[in-house]
Amino acid sequence: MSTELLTGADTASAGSPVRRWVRRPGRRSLSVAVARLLTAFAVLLIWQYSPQGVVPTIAVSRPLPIIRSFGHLVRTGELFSGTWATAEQVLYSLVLGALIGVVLAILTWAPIGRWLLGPLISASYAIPKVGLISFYILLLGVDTKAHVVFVTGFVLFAYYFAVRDAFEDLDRDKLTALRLMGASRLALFRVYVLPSAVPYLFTATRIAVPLAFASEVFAELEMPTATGLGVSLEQATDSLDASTSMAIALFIVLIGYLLDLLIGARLRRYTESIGTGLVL
Amino acid sequence: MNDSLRLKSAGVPGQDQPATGPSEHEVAISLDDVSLRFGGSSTAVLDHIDLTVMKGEILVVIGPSGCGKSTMLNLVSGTLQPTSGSVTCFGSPVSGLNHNVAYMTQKDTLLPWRTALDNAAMPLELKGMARAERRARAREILDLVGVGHAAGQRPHQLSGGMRSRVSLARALLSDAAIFLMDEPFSAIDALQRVRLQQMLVDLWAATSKTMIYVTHDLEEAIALGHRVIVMGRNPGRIAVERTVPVAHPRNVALFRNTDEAHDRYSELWESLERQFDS
Repeated sequence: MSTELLTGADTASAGSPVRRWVRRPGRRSLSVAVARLLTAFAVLLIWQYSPQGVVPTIAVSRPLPIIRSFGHLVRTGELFSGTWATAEQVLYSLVLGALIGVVLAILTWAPIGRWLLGPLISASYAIPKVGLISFYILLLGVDTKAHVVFVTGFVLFAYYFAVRDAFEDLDRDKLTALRLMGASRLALFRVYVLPSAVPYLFTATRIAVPLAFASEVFAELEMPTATGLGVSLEQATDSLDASTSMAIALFIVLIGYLLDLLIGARLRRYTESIGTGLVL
Repeated sequence: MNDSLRLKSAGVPGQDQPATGPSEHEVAISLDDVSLRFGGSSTAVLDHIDLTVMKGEILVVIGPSGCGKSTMLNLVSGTLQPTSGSVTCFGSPVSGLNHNVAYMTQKDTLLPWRTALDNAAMPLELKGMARAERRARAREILDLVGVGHAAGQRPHQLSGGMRSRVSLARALLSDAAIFLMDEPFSAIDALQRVRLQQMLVDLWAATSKTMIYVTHDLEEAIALGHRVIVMGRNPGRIAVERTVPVAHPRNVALFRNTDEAHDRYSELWESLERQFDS
């Protein structure tokens, strides 16, 4: 390797001493983890043993009954079937939303597209989408299709605005250099514009996934369906079973958190590989 | 084998004969009475510029910030159009993007997700050359400009000097007859800068490319240019024009310490100072 290779850049390459040092779980990260666990444990203790009047147990229950309800949901398989049903709708919505969002961003990249579609898209974004539930039911019936369309209505904007931002952040010098090399519009799109949008798509997905989960659970509460986390949540709430409601709600939070960690890690790995992300 | 000969054998596009100097007959770039104003502004960014660059000439442009040096390059590349006057390239008017030029700026325009090899091969990829062939040619040119060992690295893993070399390799593979260089080495440390300047001179000797080179560094201007123009500002105009009376290819490091270089330096420095004061 040349001595000209940057030491700063070396920190980005896998296996460098600096990176190994930074990534090694040291005493500091261990104490942070212990501190977080202790804090969580303290909150759970206060929640469990605080006087009746302090914690509204009828609404939020207490940790031990919640854990017992969670165990029951796992044992009966209700949690898994519900999660799968919800995740399936979320997945369809994300694919559809990403596709529509990216296509709209591409269409509005050209001035004529922006002129024609820009105001329409901005106006659509401002529509209170939860108010459209009746409209979807009338249009598509009480069906999972209505759920997918409802959730897509939320997530497509995450992709649209992210990709629009990606296009606005394109480097004029790079565009000029490529055009001077003879790049056609299509080639420009393939070699520069789309690859530039990749980190933005990761970010959009990071926003869209919890949004899609939340809106699908909401759709399951409002638009009747056979299974899903929202259905289980509604049944528990209707029977005033606060511990099951909280178990499901916390499980949804956990899914969102884990997916955020996963997508965040993937985004970080990608941005580090092209030298735009933080190394440390 | 010296660099010039190695460039020939590597198939770098250019003249078949070794370069001796600018052509006396063939005009590469011509700016005729060119003026440019932005958005109805009363002050011209460039005011009645008349300039001819001969084929195979290295013209260096120097001047204070805001005198329109980069704007002039943009006019030649066709990314800007003059308010009045005309720009021609090899006799044809520049009305849209000028595909005869390769543009190098201080901030490199390499794509961060591509390796040095794939960045260098970009012009060949855009021409539709098969992957194996374009990579082989790009590897050869990267070796030639001294970064073959880093072909698999991405731009952020390279130093500024190495990125400049990759940019140069890409420009060479673009087959452009004219290189527009806007302070391409200004962000690079002094030692590397001299090495890159020498490499540029060697590339010129092997290919006879026409170059318009913008810089803030008078020493660099004299070391590289067949001709140096000093621009003034408010409005942007050509204030002084001098040839450098030493034949190319020069030894950039040694030439700086010659009497000819010192004389030209003193003369141009006075002109430059007047432009800073104006």
